[in-house]
Amino acid sequence: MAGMTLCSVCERQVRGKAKVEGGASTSTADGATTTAAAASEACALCFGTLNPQFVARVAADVGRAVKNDFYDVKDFVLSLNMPVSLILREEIVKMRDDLGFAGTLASVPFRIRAIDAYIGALYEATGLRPTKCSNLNLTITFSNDEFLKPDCDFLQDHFPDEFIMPAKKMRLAEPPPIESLLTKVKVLSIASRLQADVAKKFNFETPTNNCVSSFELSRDPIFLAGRYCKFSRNLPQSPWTADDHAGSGIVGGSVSEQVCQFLKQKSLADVTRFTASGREDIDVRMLGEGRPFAVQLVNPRKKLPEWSTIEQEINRTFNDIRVSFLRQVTRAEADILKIGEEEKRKTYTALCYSSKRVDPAMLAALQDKAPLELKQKTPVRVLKRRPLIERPRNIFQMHAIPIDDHHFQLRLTTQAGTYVKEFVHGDFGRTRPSLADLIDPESEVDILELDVEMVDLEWPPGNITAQQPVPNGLAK
Amino acid sequence: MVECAISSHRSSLDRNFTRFSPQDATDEDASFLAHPSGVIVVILSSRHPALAKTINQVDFNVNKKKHRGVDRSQQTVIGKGKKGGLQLLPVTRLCLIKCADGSEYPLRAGVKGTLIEVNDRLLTEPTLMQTSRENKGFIALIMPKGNETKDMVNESDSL
Repeated sequence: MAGMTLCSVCERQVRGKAKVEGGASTSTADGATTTAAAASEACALCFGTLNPQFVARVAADVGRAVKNDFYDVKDFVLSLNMPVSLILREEIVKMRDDLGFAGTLASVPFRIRAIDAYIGALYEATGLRPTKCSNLNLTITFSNDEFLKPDCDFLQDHFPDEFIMPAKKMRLAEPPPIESLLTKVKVLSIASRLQADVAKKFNFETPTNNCVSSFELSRDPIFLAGRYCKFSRNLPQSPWTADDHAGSGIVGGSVSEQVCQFLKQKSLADVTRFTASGREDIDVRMLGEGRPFAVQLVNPRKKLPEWSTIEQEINRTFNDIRVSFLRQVTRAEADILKIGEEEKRKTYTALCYSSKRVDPAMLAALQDKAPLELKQKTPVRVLKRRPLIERPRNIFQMHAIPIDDHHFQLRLTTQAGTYVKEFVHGDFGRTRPSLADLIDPESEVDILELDVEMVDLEWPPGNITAQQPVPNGLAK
Repeated sequence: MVECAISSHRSSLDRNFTRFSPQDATDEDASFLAHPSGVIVVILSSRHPALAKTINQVDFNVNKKKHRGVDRSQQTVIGKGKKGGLQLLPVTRLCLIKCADGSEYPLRAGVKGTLIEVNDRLLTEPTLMQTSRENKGFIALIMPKGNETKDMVNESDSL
């Protein structure tokens, strides 16, 4: 039974003996010999990761990275990822009683010994206090592939059924090597089947290379919620895609890009993600209290100042955008935006034109025609990128006011997903009934301007001053 | 909203579509309303002789006699790619316009592409083609194969 080489840390903690310099060997009670290594601190158990010099170097790297970055956090949470081979060895050691490990920490999981080794050095190098609960996450990964093949061979011999490559992967031009199946999860699942007799057959080779270390600093994302208004008829809500509108109009930025860019600069986040409860066309204004939206700040460096200050600054910076009710929410709350889209209601005002003279009586009669159900075929203007289907949609309320002989203003509340422009002008008769059908089938009705007045959603969540659903009558 | 110059508004049609006619089109051919996204609305040419007559029927089953061809009004398309749509060449006939005085006018597609939809309203109200040529009386929707409109005559320019 070959001896196992351990570093001085593991010797002390796990074997319970002080390491002897030079080539002396000692025997333990049951005859297994241990070999003191030469000057190098190679270790078959910890792979050298607990070596104080190694620890100091890793800590110094982390310290440099922290100093070069701008996190305004005072503490951090440490996670360590160890090489798969190391995890395998830990599991095997557990099943063996012949190694003579009598140290005080022999039964302590390696994970804990490792964290213990790094905590102090990291605190000194970074000035950040290690805790169990913090916004900032430091994940250090150690990798060593030296034993990937021999370990895989060993396990495959004794547990062949665990190493069958899935058929899908075998059909690839270059099927991945068997070793790719050896993951931490795989090792832990095999460990539950590991018996002492198999464990005894394992050979603890000493690594010849040090581990490669890498780390990642990441702060928990911040979710912001609010409502935005858009006052321009030449500003898209989301980034313009060339596909939709080949060469129509000049546009600089979009609501989502401008708001995100602003918040990104303030928080020094890596990435920002904008979601909203629906969207309006480039030529449609968003009025009233605004449309609910959420922004996710990924890996922000700075906690943002007071929300009202940010709001004011955004509103001062952008003429055509106004943000209100800005506050921080949880990830779960931000997800509410996407749920139940179909049930939401929106209220619009439309400036309409009628080719025949407007009859005030017919306009007044509109009010009683609601609620009604429409059948809308996919509008021509979006038909390029959507399938052709007919969708039923509800109009809940309508109210029209004459402006002059050929113009009137229509106020309506509709189900989410209703194409309002197409309801007004009929989309070549493919939305039925259209407004013309309801007022005067002989006339052609057109929409000149559209504004969104209300997006019916309680947002931000739990805020009693923002939108509440209106049961009867039209909101104003 | 009332304060804006209402009279300066162009119609939705003018704002969103460009009028084209195929190269070397005759009076009996179709005209097109092209949307910037690519989709084309096929309408009757403003110079079509049927406009002066009474249209009795618009028949989308164009090759009944020879027992060939497809009734265009019966097709269904699936998915974003509009699979199942009739593949059209410029000479492919979309429909047959039958007038009260007995004359019949076949209408050619005028463009290469996929037929997405025909106006089923024309089956029950064929005169819409005359009374509402650019609106409820449209004939069909086509997804052109490529950049077809660059070879066409832009009628909007001459207005």
